Amino acid sequence: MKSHFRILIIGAGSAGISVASRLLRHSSAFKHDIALIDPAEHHFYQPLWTLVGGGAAKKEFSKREMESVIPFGTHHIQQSVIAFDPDNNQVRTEEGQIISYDFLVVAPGIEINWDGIKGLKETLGKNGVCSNYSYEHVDYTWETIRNFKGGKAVFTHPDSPVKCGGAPQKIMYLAEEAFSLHGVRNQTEVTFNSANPGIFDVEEYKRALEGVIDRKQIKTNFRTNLTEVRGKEKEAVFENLDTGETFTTSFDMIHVTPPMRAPSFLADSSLAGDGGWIDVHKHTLQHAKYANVFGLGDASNLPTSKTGAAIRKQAPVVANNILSLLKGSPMEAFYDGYTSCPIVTGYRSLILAEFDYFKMPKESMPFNQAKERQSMYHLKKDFLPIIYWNGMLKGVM
Amino acid sequence: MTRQAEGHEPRWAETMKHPEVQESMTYLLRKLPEIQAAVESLDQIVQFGQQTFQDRKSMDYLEDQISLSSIDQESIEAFVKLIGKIPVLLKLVERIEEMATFAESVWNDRESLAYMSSSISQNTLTQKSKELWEKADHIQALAEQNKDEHISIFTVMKWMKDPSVQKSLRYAKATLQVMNNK
Repeated sequence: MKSHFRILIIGAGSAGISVASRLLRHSSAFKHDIALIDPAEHHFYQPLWTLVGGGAAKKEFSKREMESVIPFGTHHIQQSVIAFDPDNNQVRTEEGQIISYDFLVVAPGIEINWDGIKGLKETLGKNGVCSNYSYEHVDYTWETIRNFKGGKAVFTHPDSPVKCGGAPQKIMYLAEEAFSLHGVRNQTEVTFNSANPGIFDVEEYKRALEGVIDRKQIKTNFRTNLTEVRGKEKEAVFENLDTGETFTTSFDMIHVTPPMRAPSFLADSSLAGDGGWIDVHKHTLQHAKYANVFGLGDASNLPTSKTGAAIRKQAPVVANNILSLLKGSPMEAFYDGYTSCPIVTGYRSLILAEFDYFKMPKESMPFNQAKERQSMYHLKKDFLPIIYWNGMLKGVM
Repeated sequence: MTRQAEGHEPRWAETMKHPEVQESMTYLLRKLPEIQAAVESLDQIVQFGQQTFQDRKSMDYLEDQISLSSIDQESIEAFVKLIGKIPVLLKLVERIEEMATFAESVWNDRESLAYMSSSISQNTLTQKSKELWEKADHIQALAEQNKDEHISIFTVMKWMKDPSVQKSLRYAKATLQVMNNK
């Protein structure tokens, strides 16, 4: 088996596959000289899980065989990386294989820390405790919402970076509308307990979302972090992040967004910076110390919201800057922190938030995107999945 | 007296003793057949060029061909301009190529096509028309059921108070106003 590749990519998620596809589209010289290391057998389009949890999409469409999305001409090494040796341009896999490279692209994604909340793993998928963050359990979210007979519905946002910062509230808006449609809204108290200081970071969208929260009469508790779930007792323990005090609240259903972190094999390596994320330049995406190492996606330390849309803009930057280095030219591709969060506010409404490093809107549409729109809902539900599978993963969008 | 005269080895012989020089020499010797072949083919090209230039008939033929074609000063200027536009054209071609790749990928992706078709069948317009058809069936059934019922002028006057009738009449009035203004 080949043990040296011109380009070695850690992670066959949206970031890794996009970079591989873009390089291969640029030159056939990369054919059979790019490898993607990832132990996964399946590839998931996770943005759909919000709609699956809200009963508006089928989860099966979010899952594909990994081999069907690996670009032709790329090797898929189905193993886990356990150590990096960037001084010798090598990585080591769990099976003991040493693989060397000319260029390394690190894109392993973000790791969900289910153990970060006491009692969560034991009760997830029963007792009204649900979470959209796993393919296995996402159906249970809709089951819980559909069968809800009224009472306390709690939604959480953890004290850690998360993939798609808007997702914890999207499912709450869908659930609230479902409760109204099912005639149980009047008997229901909907609460959003978030570790963040406000509903959104970008002022323009924050104002719009505060309007949504008011209209839907959702109770908010900011700077609170879920620390424990007692499924049988239907109780949740929260910590006030400003005072350090804890309080317990009862629930009839709770949707938990679990805490997330950098994968441990990355966090423990010399490639990691603060927080365990890969330490890259915020504009060139080149590693701060190793010139032949690049990082992108959720595992990077880029100070922007971790979304698929951000990756869509980061992937061409990484591919083009690698090509520049191979040609001996200066790196010219530049990432401005663009990210996007399509915030579903109901079954036919969505605010399409797009912004950059400065938290300034960077909108693609010729109209005010802070307004809830049905057209943008259809963009997310009906078109973005198609664009993802056939455009982004093919390196053309 | 020179060092050579003193019995020392010449300088080139000393240089030859360096391992890196020996390595390069070995490499060059190994590559000699390839270098020879390359030089021969270059020589053939040069000879061909020289002979073509000396061949009066071939040169006249080429000149005739060029003079008979539509290539003129304007074509040359356009060609130069086109070269200047190539970077923009390339971007355009790349975009078209990307769109074609995307379209081809969607066309060959059964799962995406199935997803699109299910989205279309769920969309608002389809839903609305379905609801209308359902209502139409219900209306027809109700009308059939009450076919013996007598509708008096008082019944019609009563309908006039119905909010949906009032709404329709308001639309009718607004339509008439707009038509008259035009």
